[in-house]
Amino acid sequence: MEKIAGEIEKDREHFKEIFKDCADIKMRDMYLGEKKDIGCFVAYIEVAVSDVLFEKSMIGKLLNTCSSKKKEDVYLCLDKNALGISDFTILDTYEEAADGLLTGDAILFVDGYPHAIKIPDQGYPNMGVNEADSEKVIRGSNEGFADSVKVNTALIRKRVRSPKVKVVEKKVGLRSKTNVDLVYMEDLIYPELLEEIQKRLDTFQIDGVLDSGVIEQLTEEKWYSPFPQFQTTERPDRAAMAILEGRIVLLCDNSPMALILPTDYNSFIKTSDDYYNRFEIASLGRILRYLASFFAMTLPGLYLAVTNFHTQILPTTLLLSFAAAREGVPFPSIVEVILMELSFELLREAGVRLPGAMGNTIGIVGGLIIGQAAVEANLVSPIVVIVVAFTALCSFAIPNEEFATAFRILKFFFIIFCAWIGFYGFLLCLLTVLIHLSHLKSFGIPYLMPIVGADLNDYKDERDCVGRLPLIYLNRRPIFARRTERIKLKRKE
Amino acid sequence: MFSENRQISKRQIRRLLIYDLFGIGTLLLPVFLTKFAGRDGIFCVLGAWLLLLCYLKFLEKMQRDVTQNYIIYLEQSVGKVVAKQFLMIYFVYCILFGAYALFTAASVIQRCLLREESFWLILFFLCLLAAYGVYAGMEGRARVYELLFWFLMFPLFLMLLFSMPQVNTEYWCPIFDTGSRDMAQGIYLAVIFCGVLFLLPFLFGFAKKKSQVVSAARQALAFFSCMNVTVILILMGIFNENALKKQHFPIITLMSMIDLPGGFLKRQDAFMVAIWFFTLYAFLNTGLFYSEYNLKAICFRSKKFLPLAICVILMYGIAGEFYRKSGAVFWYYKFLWYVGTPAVILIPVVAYLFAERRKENDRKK
Repeated sequence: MEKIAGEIEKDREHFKEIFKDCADIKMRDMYLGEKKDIGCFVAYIEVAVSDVLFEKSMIGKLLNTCSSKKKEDVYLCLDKNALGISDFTILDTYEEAADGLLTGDAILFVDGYPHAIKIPDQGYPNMGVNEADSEKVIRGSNEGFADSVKVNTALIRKRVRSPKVKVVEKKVGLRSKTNVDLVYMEDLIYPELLEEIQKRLDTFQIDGVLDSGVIEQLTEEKWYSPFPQFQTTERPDRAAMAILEGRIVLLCDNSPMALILPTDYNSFIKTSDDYYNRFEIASLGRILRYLASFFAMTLPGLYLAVTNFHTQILPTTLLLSFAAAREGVPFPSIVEVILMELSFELLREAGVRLPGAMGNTIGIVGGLIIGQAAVEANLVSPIVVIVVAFTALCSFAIPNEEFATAFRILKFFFIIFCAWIGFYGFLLCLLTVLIHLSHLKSFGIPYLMPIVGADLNDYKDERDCVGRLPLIYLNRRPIFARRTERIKLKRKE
Repeated sequence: MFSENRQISKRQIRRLLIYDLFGIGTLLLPVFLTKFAGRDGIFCVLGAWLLLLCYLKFLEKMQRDVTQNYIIYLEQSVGKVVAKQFLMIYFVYCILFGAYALFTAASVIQRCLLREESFWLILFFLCLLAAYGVYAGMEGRARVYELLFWFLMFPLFLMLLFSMPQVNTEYWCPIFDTGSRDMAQGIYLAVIFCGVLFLLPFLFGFAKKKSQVVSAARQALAFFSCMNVTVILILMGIFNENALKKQHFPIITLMSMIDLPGGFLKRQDAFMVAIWFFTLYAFLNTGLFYSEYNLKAICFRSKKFLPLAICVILMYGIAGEFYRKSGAVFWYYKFLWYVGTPAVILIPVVAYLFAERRKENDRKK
């Protein structure tokens, strides 16, 4: 641990070196003493220290006091904590000073004074920020990203307090000049990945970027794929986890939605509390979500294929009950299924656009009352209502909305092909989706990792895939991290 | 950045080969072997296994000299002109077996799932899918089979397990009552059905470590041979020799006869067709992939889509001919028996001998 030199130039250089490429860390030069002959600088995290630095905050008062004192009195004032600031700490090394800054406090360096001073201020933004609307968890923080990119960066730094967390700032949008921050762990990411995303951000020129969704669409490799090639999250803990895995988090000003890159199918299926809960329940949840992603896409099609083409599969009693349920329905089953699916999509759309409480009401009214009325009016059979409702349930079980949307869209292709050529259509669609997924990549990562291509990380990522092993066995970082930095957990000697 | 396309791992090679061998092997080989060797069909499979192991030993030796890929190796050893002729033979072999796989897959679909649907429509969709699969590249292809492997193999193992109580072991006997000529022909037939292994040299250029190709092929061959022996024994034990000879796709018929505990599904053959759909698709895809690969090497090096389009159209046409004229399939069998298989076995041997002679000459100089 290196001692603080007490020479302002050296101190500043050293501190700047520690926080190189950290756009959210600010360093402000000032002069103290009645002759303004003592150089000093304050380092702080942008949103963790109040904007009205000199007027109201403790550090402001301290600096004001020192500004009117003689040189020797300034050092005395600092040494004795003349203002009686609570949690006023004198630090001796640069590392201690860096750690102090990362706790959300301001750090003061004064020329000729071989210590740094940690002065508490408002600290990191907390629960007042926002609550995540989607990606709800049973266990874990409920904090969500806000609209300000600065607050969002601080929310990540609050969770990963390491000077190796770097923030690269970019301006995107010719007229909007939107701030975009790329947050990553310096020693974990592949430098090529950072270059690639920066290159992609530079490849387009657009009037305005009003949400991260615009960046997502403009920078993804295969624009025609229904599957998202960036992972989106509203949760700072999820973003922090991604940073610890060696991924990059892209934050866009005015958007509470962070983009994580690279990503894969498995990352979309995971939730934050998979790691907060015990492995048995986490594994069960994962298996259910994998099954849900399959059925959200295939179930209505499969129903049509079996009931229209391959009735021999079903036992006679079940087949008879299906036939009885359809009695009196004037439409062919494909019309029934499409009618119900479209009604459901409409309900969903209406529910999203309406204010919270009304949205819930429309769900109940639509789901229960209209569904029941449609069955009673012989517009659809009860079995189709069950199939569509189960499919919807499956799509809700997928933790990521964009990812679930891909399955919702593909579901209609399955419906059409299965209604046309039965189980053959189902197999054709399934294989097409598999081929598509198998050659889809997100920034060089195979989308189906680690179910395929697991050899890329010596078959270790499979431990955290459909099932999750106990945390003690998840000692390696996933494929995203640099090959030399894969160990994330080991027992202390 | 992380993964390179066109580079596949040992596990992927193994699963790719198992798929290629398994589909057509379990679907047609039991019937053909029963016609040739009666109840001794399993010994033909075992005999073929031994012969192919010898062939793999040879490939292991040859692989050390393949520096970049097999096409370059051919050009270096026999010269560019002769190499092109060899590639032409490979092209014909691949396009024909791809077309045969296409025809078989479409026949299975029509017979088991869509009796009243147009054969041409089934062919058309399969061709489109195969073209999309080839467009996805070698790594994309390998990943599909890597993913599907246990999803398909696990239900198959279960079904075979559930079928065992119906096996009558008396139908297996007597054994060794086939003449040596018929046995030899049976073994040769089983070798022909493992034709994908003769395209193994092309995989040297696609593998992450080319030394792993032969080892993966050995494992795939062992898996295929054991599975095929099991399937033949089960089919023989359930249908008897005479009934087995008359069936088209006995393994699929078997799937419709198995009673699952619980009785939720009455007949699962429609679902189990998925296994042969995927495996035959793999076989078809391999044919299309290598025919396009060879065609590119012969005359369309810079073109991206044209060779693929030519191969797809050719395959569609040939598969259609197989459907329209049953004699065409017979001629295809003749081609495989007398020309195709001997040629693809001998080409690497000839290339190896030339390469060795060249090395010897270089050493003398």
